[in-house]
Amino acid sequence: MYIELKDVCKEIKNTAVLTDISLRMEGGKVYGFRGKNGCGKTMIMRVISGLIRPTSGEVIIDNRTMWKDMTFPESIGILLENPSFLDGYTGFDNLKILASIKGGTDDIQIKDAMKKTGLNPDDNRKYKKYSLGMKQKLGIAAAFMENPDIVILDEPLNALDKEGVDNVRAIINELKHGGKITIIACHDAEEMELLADTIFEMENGKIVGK
Amino acid sequence: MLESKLIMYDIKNGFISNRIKILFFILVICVINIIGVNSIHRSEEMYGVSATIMDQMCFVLGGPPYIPKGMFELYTIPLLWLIQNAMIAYIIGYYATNDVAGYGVQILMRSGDRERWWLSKCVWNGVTVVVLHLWMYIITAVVAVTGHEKISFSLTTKIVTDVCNIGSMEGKMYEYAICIFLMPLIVSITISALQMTVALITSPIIAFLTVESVMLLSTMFSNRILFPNYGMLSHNMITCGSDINIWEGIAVCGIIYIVSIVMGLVYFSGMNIIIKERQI
Repeated sequence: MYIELKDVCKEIKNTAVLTDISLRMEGGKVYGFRGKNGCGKTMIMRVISGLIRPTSGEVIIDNRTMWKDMTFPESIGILLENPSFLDGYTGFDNLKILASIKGGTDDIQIKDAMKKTGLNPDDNRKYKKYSLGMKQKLGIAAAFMENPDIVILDEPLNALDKEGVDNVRAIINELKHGGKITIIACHDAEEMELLADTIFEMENGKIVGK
Repeated sequence: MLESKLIMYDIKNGFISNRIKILFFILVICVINIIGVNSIHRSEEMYGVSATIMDQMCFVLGGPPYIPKGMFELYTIPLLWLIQNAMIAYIIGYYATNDVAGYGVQILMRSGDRERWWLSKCVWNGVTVVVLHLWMYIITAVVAVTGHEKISFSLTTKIVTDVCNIGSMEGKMYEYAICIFLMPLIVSITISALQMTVALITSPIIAFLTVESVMLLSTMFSNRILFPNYGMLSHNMITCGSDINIWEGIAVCGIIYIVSIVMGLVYFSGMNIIIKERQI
């Protein structure tokens, strides 16, 4: 399993948001993107996940080119910057709806994913009653519950307490040992050093250090 | 299989997220029907005839008055007709664009295919319009029956020419039935598909204003380009001698519908999906 970005550029409204990004990521490793707000961390994640089409360059995942051979990576879980769920359903029901689209993930796996983040799968509260931390945990559970090959976590530690942060660390460690490619963006430099094997420093849409 | 899962998700989620708007729509249709019953009763007394359910349907779905060329001074804004159509546009307006900015992104990525996702939204759109029209038919029938109107599918000439904006009755019965039941539905499905595509490319508000402008202009001018005219019995050649006819309307709506869906498909295939910033 690998992801390769070749000279990826992205312009939005004539402004370059990514410039000549070339990198390679391998399975079994954790990659971090670090930089100031607006440096392009989230944009790279969106490009890899297929939500944004690069203006030029290629994103190759296991010999298959995005936007040519596939629309989205076949096996990906993503925690979006704005994890959004259905207000009128419980956390478990929300995840069950998502899992039902692809199929192949049973209730036990969903409950297991929730427990790993520190959520109680039997909690009958609707999502709208969730605290910010609980919403974040549900977003993380949604990202890895289907055991995807690529897991993208954009600011996974936001709104989490110490126990939540420890849980995320354990999840990332498990993903790494499971041979997955884990990509994270995190504004906490210390935490990033702890979590990632390789850190890409970003500035103005460019990778300026590794 | 995946398609049916996506469609089921959209239909269920679409109705749940729009439930308050749908209730408001039902309320609006009830109010329009009550106004209709009162107007029809006055006309019954005036002409000494008995109204039918079909007359009531004609009041709700028959369309605004026809304005002959050069007689614009006769025009008054047909509020009831515009409100019921604006409500449909309001219900359709935000679902697809909101979904792609939220939970729907997770669904989209799991579906693995942008085209499938868009086509599922198109099915949701059509189903929603059909359900809203079914509500209109049911409410109208119930109000008509409780208002002691005859259960009959024939139109009462004196009543429909008096209160339903119908100029004359020169068509066949099946043509009136098509104009009352089918054409407003076909036009509504078409304009809703157009609205969803415009909302995707621009914004839901611009799309709403666009379709409402087309609707408003259609009440003023019986023009073939303003295709909502095809959904108005009152503007049809069988009631006012215009050049608006049923079969051309079905063809025009079919073309606009397909073009709208394909435009949306092409646009969405390459669209950048940028999710709103999280409030933490």
